Formats: sequence, C-alpha cells, structure tokens
Amino acid sequence: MNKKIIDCPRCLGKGRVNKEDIKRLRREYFWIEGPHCAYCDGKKQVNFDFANKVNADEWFLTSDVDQQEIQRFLNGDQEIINSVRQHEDYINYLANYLMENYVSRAINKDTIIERLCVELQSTKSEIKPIVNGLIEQIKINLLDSHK
Amino acid sequence: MIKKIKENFKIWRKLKDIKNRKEHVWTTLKKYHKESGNNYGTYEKEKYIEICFSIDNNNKVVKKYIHHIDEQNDSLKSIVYISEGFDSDKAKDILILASHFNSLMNKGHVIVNTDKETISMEYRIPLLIPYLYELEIHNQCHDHYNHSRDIVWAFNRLLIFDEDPIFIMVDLMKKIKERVK
Repeated sequence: MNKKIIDCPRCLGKGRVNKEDIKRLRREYFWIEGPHCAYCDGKKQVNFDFANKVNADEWFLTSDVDQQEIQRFLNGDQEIINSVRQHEDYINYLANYLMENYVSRAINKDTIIERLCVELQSTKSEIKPIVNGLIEQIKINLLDSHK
Repeated sequence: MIKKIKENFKIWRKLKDIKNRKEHVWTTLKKYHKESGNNYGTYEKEKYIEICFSIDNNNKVVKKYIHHIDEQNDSLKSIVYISEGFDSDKAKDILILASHFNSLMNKGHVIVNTDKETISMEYRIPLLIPYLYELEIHNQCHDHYNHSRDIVWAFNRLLIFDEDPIFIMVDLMKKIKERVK
C-alpha cells in the first residue's frame, strides 16, 4: 500500500472548492462553491491510493451526501454505483436541455417544465424543484459573466 | 485613377443589370458564408441562411442568426432570435428595454412580438447596397453579430436574472464606455 500523501486534486490544496475548481473539473451542473472540500475532508491533502481509486471529479462525493451512502459507494456497492451513474445522466440531460432551451433560446421556465413533463413522462411537482435548482446552478457557475 | 475608373465601370455595368440583384446578392451571401468556414444551413426556396454563434466567452450561450433576402421588401435582413418564448409576465419590462434600445440604436431595431412571445433584433439594408458593394454583406453580418452580443447580454439579465430595465441600461452604458476607453 502506498503511503504517499499528495495535495488534494479536487481543491488543489485549499481545503475548499471554488468556482475555478468546479469549472476545471466540469461539474458546473452538480456543485456550487463551498467552504469544505468533501474529497479531502478539508484537510488539503489526500492519500495517493485514495486519489488513484476515486476520481477528483466524482460528483457524488460532496459534503451534503449521507456518509453511510458515500462509504457504500466507495466500497463498490453496485446498487448505489448504478443509481449514482443514472442520476448523473439524468442531471446532464436536464442541464443540457436547460442550456439549449432556457439559456440559448430563452424559452420561459413554465413552458420548459411542461415539455419536460411530457418528454420524461413525469409530474410537474417532480420536475419543478430539479429544474429550479439546476437553473440556479447554471446562473452561478456558467452565466456569471452575464451578471 | 485607372482602378477607380474600372470600379465605376463595374458599378455602371451592374446598374444596367439591376433586375438580377436578388439572385446576385443571394449568390454572394452564400459564397461569403462558405468562405467563412462556419457551419450553416441554406434554405434555397426562402433564400435565407441560418447560422448559430456563441455570444459569450464561455461558449455557453448560443444564438440563432438568419441572413435573409427579403424579396417583398427588397432588402437584406439579418435577424437574431433573442427569445423564442418569453414569460408573458415580463412583457412590460421587455417592452421597456426594447424601447430603450430602439431609441438609442442608430442601426437596426429590437422587435417584440407579444402574441408569439418572441424577441428579435433586426438589421435591414436595401438590396441595392450589397448588390453594388459586396463588402456590405460582410459589414452587415459582422456589425449585426457584434451589436447582438450587447443586446442579448441585456435581455438575459432581464429574462434570467430578473433585473430592472433601467439598471440594465445603466450597466450596459458603463460596459460600453469601458470598452471604448
């Protein structure tokens, strides 16, 4: 086992994740900047073996996820890994849809939610909070130059 | 001197063949876009070219541009769609912002369609101009794109960030002043 310690590849040794880190790791649809890096647990450094095993851009590894679930994920629990990957695809799909329709074509939010409900065969109450959250993230992480 | 005579002769020859200006400008417009190396769509029957450009530094906001030979109005039009379905609750602010632009712009105008809930910005010149001076096609496409960046920026602040049109205009003026410095 390698005992080598390296600077955290996610926060680059700051102990917190900022907008630049989010852009570098292309996680604009998943994270917002925060005071605590979940990858190194704010310690600024990580074990080389850990960095080798878990990618720095692993979106699921964040401060607001239940520790037990993170442990199951790190231990290779197939059920949770599949669910994480599925959720990642879902968020990417929704975010790209919003980038194209809400941001580029400037179609209003309600129309987009209605179209998504039809397309994903889902309900308004299910889609609306996700869309609202994603729009906020897009505004903060991607449209800061428009502010 | 000889060059100028040649140019004048060329224009004179073109004026004799003025009936063909639509076809000529359309061919030149297609040639211009082909040479630009960008991806675009050509609509022969309707005589327009559709092209998408990113308008921000992050390449995240992409807008659709149309360069159109308007046979009815005998003009070359450049259109950008700013919104393809805005929130009707924001119609009042959108009209205020559009009227600010329309009173300040010396070229082009912002068109708000409250029925279809669309916003577009249009440049229009008589076909005779690009027919006689081909460089005008480049000038129109180029100026229209550059101008649209500020207008899209302003409308995005209203449509996405819910800001007041007056503050948006004040910030835009500052932005332009800093750029000119």
